[in-house]
Amino acid sequence: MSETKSKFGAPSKVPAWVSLGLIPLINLVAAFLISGVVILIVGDDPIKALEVLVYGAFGYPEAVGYTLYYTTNFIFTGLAVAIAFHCGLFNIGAEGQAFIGGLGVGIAALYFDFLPFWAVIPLAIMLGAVFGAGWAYVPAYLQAKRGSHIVITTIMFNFIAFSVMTYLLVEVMINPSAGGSPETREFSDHTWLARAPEFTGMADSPLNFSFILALLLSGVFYYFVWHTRWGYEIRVVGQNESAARYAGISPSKNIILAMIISGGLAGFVAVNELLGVHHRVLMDFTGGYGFVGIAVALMGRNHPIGIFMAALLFGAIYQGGTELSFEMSNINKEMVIVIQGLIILFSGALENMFRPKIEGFFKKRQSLSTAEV
Amino acid sequence: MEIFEVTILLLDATFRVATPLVLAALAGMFSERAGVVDIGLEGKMLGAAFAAAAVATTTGSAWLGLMAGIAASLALSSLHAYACVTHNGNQVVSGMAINIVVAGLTPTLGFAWFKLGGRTPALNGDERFSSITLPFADAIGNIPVIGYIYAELISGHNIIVYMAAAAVPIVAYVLFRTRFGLRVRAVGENPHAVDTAGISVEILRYKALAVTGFLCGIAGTYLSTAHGAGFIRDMTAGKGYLALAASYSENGSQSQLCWPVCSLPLPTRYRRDFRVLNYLSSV
Repeated sequence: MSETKSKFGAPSKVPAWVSLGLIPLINLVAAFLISGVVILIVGDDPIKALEVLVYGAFGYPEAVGYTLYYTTNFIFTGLAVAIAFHCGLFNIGAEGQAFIGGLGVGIAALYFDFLPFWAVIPLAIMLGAVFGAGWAYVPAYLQAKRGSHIVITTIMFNFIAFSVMTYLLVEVMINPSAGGSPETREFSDHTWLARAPEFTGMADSPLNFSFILALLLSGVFYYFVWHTRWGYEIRVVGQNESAARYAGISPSKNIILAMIISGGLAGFVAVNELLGVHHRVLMDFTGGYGFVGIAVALMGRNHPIGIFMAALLFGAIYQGGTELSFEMSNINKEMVIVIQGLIILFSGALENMFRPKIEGFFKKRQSLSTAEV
Repeated sequence: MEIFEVTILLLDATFRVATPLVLAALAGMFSERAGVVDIGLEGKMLGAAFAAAAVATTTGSAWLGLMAGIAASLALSSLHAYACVTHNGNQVVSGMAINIVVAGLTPTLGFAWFKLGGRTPALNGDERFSSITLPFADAIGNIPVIGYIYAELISGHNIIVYMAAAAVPIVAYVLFRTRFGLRVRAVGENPHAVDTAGISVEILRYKALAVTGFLCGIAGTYLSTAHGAGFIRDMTAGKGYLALAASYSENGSQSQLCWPVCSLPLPTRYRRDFRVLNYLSSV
């Protein structure tokens, strides 16, 4: 396993624009080509589908608002998966952590709403992060102290989170006047996050203050991972556990730290979804964002700027794909999932398919030009 | 006497629910033993379930459906091998990608081909594997205890349940008593040693993953054409992950492997509120 782990973010000797720009682009094009084939198979025109997708994502202000709203979620989960990657861990549980984070947000917004907005909103954000972190702590502890496989435990914790939240929403926190659907009462309106201002033309979209939070957290993420001792230790453990142990860095402590931060970041999805948009706790608000976070982190090479770009891409695919299912007769909204899966396949699993050839091409050219000099 | 009958009926249901889990867990164990983590069991089963139901409903033959299910699962398995073995890609990412692609692709194709909102048409008659009554089941069914157990518990399942039961000793034999099995175990524990011995690690892992694909194909086919009557979107509902956990939990020893898998459905039958676990009680 260790030989595959160290592949993430490993330095390469080719120009940065090739490894950070060209190779992801080629992987992306390959994924879109296969998606086009699928669209052909179901009997629609792939070129028209692409047009609809781009127009649906960026064509008018409200669409841009929706795209950025999805982007917000993907930034949170992308950062969550990325911090775990930096520690050599695979957090598939962002989905469950976000869901449990929703419980924290809900508790603050439902039972502490007597506080003024400047107290209850930070409290809700904090509880969301703490609950998400707490949910990530258990698999982290099991991995660090007991050697359980974190992939298995985080997957299982998604199921447990789902069951726990179903129980709480059906039996405990349900709003009796909601006609039996498992959701809480609406939060009182001073806990709601501010929507996008009127002049941007996105006021009707669900874009809200969380987007600013996502950008802020990206900055903090960069500073934390590359400019603090904690971030350094996490990266050392991720790249070489025995070297870390030899240098006096505790792997188990850093595994737990990275996972707690990961869970906390995942919890922010609940802030965007519940405080920003739905204003109540309900089922399935995590909508697969946790899984897409894996793709976002992979494409973004675990760097905040890359993650932002990848999140924007996936946000556009989400929003454009919804439009696609309205416009095209043979395409339904699952097509978006196919495109996502193919992007994960090409930019993650098959990342070594094109890379050696492209890198070899540039290395050869480099050595030629230095020889000429 | 009533408790006895309830127990037998419960075990009977457990057999039926455990069948895909047993097959998928054996599949997961095979790739695990060959040194390839396969979290794509879920996707392979789902793909097989769709292919089996689609072919069974168009051709009218459950057996052709089974072939198609196995073929679909083998194709996905080869994709996993191509990514992880040939290109040395990350195994977890590859499995995850396969799960997501299949989760999207099956309803997309189902929607386009059958126009039933992502389902396949309901299967009946020869399009499904129907239950088999073993010889003498009716004749000795009235004998207390033994006859009852034979008629209710052992007889009356469809062919794939018996295939799953047979698969356990067969896989045990292949893995622990044949040259191929020895090599598969060796390649998982120490690929360099296998390489030094002049055996191709790549080919061996491809073969092991083909076995994984084969078993997952049967498991998926069971879901849509034997246990159920047609494909429903996300019908695996986490069974692949459960099987994966089961194959991990016992470190791959079959005699022990069966127990966690079989015992999984028992407690969950009574928790009908829990949507995720609800599928287990839908027998």
